[in-house]
Amino acid sequence: MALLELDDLAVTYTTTGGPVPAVRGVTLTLERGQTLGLAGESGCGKSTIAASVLRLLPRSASITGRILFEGQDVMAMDWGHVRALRWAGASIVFQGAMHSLNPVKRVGTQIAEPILLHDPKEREGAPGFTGGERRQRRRAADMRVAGLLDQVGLTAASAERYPHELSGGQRQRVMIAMALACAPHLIVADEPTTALDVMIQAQVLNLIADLVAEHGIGMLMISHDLSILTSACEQLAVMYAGRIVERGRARQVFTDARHPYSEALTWAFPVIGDREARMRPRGLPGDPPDPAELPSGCPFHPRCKVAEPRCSETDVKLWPAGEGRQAACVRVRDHPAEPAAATSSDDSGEVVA
Amino acid sequence: MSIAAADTAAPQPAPHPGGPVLSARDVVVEFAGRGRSAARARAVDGVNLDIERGEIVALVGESGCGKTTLARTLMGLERPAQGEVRFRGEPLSYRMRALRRYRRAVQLVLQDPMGSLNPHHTVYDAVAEGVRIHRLPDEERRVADALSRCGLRPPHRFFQRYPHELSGGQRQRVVIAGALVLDPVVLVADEPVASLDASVRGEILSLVLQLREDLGLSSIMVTHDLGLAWNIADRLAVMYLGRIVELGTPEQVFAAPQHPYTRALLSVLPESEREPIVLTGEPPDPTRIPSGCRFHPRCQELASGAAAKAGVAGACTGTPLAVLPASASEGHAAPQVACHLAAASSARTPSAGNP
Amino acid sequence: MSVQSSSTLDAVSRSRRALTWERRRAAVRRFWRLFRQDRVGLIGLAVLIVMVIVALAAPLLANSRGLNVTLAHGPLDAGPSLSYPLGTDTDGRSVLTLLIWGSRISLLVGITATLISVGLGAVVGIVAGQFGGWVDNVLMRITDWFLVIPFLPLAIALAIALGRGIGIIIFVIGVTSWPGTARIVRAQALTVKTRPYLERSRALGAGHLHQMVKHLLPSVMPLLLANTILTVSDAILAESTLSFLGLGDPTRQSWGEMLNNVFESTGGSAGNVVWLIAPGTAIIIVVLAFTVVGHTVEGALSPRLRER
Repeated sequence: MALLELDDLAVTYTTTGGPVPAVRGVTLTLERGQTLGLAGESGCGKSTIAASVLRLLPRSASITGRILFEGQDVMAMDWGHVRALRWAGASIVFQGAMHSLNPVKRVGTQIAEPILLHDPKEREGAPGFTGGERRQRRRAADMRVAGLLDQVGLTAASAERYPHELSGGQRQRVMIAMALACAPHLIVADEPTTALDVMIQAQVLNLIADLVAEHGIGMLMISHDLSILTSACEQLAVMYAGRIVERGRARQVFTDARHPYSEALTWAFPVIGDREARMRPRGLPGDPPDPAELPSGCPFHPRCKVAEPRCSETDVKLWPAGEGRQAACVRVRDHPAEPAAATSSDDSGEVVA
Repeated sequence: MSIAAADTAAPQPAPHPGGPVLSARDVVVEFAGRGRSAARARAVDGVNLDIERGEIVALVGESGCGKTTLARTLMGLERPAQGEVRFRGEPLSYRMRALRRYRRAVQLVLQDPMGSLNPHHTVYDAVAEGVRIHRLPDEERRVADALSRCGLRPPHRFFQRYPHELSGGQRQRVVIAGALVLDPVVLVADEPVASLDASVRGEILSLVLQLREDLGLSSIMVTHDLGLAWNIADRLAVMYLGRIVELGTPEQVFAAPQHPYTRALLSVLPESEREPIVLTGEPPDPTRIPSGCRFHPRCQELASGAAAKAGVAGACTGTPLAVLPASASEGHAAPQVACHLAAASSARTPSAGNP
Repeated sequence: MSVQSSSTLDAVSRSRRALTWERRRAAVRRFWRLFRQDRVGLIGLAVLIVMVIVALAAPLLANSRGLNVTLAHGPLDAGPSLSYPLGTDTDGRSVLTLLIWGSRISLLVGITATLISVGLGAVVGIVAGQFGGWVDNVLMRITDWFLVIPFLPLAIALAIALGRGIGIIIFVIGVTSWPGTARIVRAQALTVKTRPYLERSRALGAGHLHQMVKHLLPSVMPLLLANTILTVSDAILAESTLSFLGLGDPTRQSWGEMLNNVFESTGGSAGNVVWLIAPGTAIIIVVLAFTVVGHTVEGALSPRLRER
């Protein structure tokens, strides 16, 4: 049984201007101990997927398709199960740690909160607790907090601090400690290192990698930075306009993208020392499409450098693009094994059936 | 402060037309510490830097290293406690009138384009603001020119838009157009692409390069993104705790980083092939600058004993380093580095740079 | 790109101005749409419109000769009748005439005093927020001083020192009611001041005046508008209080003045009960109407602020 399974997930927001499809049919699977990176520009639907896994979407969103967490349908869960899922099953690390922490509470208290809250005995109003028992439980929670802080590389003394007394990197670690508090099986990290310095970013990524390896946690990491996802995740899925347009092993996608959009994203973060990138920054002209008015055919064709006339008519879906990879580009359908980068002048006969 | 200010700056030649457009000489910027008894924080603690005409200089370092303060000082938004900022060889005057004239020539672009635009102002108003402040003629033509230079074409289609109706990349183009409208000679950009989408990043950087090509615009790029430096910078200055610790072309610095701090920064890049050196701890506090080399409490070379082997461990913890001179005017000579270990090894093997 | 013929440039700039107006009209329409959703606010607005029309049309509705004690020929202190719908006072004047003419003075004083108060408050608040440092300190200490001195004793002292007249009343209310506005405006100005767009403006070479007029003032405008409407009701109440205490302008009839008359001539036990009740009711209705409209305006403006 997979840890997380999205089956043809579609999310549509109802707005005053009409329905806006944010996610349009995403299918993916994540096993325990696996790491999956989800890349794309803002507005491509990647954060909507993160929110839908934990049922954090606003009321205006309507969902079709299925989200299975450890075999259970998240959409069909009752409220109690959703609560249990949110901390004990899966937890989320948001970007912008300053805004996700309560400024007037000590961080230790904030980390202990989910532990005490999700203790089933506590929830029943705890009529049977004597003062002594309660103190004991508190002490146990404090011990657990100290353990968690140690896991994320902070001293136990930082439990007594307030969020503003910590630096950006330390706050992000506190967020991770909170996410770990109830030993979840899945961590959803939404831009966990945006706005952090290179060195702090490295520290946080190292920490996440260690945790995943040690505890066999599954991780879904969301970012617009392909280079970070590539170093932190085994698998990579690139999203555009609410759909996955390419997926495969992270390193392969990063070094040899098959979809022109993924290729453009890889160019955005140059490899230092790469002569080709020196004094030649490359971006992707144009803006992401308005989800309410998607272009016909392949939604990427208006910005695509290698677009052909048929691109505006052919409906694209993920086609096999070599071993363990798929890409949603008509050129990939025609030539499954040929790298997209090389603009086919040589023979295209060597198709791996 | 115990740091000697002696023999830091090279004797300054008389201003000549070929000299740097903008330069910092021994600039020190201090802030009052929090609370009554707190020590003053030295955000910038002695910096020499020259920016030539048409040159793009990247200023990289961790947050809190003083790079943004240095940029603001170069803009005339902070006043140095010591040292001076020179524009075309002339020391910057902080009188109202002179500053206003200076601010036509040197322009600022900030990180967050949404925040840098007044939400109540249209694109036209935002771009025209500089023209109105300086009471220049031909307002509409200038605005249209600046917008189309920044790739917002046709310009009048954007005049009446509000910032919230634009995409992130378009907003940053509007901000840059608002700077260009005054025909500046230097653009100071503080993390110009950090809050933009990956796909837009390259577009904005290309624009900066294009402006250099077309207008001879010099730029200072304040960033923590080393990839940006590799993408567009002619020279790179690595800052640590208020000082420039390494200065050279990106090719020199990235191929053979001399300073242990630069090496650590490069090693943790996602694409790096080097063994990652993850420095522990946060950047230290500018109110308490360590004695000797300011990097020594976090230095991996000192911790591993490499410094002791070279016989400089004592110097690392005890002897302050001189402020690096601004070397640009001598052409792209050898990279500059403020490190006892690097100095010791280059003294032993004069030709090789990398210990 | 710079080779644009002047005729197309003119066309563009004319359409630019037209577009700007189109934008403004759209903003007003949006505001009205939100305002309309509040039933109570609409009723308040209707009341205010009626009041203003009555005040403006007073000469047409009631002969001003009816205000003169020597020219009034009605029965003394009589209840409502056909010729005197609200009865008469002890001098034989029609209470309705007094009420109609009184609305002029009450609204005039209320609105003028508010303009002084809000103007002063806005200038002090914006200047304090913009300059900070010692300027802010000095201005805020003065504001605090005005905030803590009780209104009535100061107003009484000023009215005694400066004499009784409508101008004095307006002045007294104006200079005593601005500190609240100043504090709110300063708080808003301080938050706006930290926005990057002000840093950008400074870097473009903007002086203090430009920053205050182009950036701070527009951002406090919605706040000021709502605050102004709410202050009007305070000012009307203050005028009534002062007049009731006998510190008003004796030559002009305001609602406060009427209340003062009732109590001075009958000690609160007038034969014509309507005379006793009418001015107080009028004051309450107008004050409520202004308050309700003020809150609705605030509500209609703030979602737009949030949305942007």
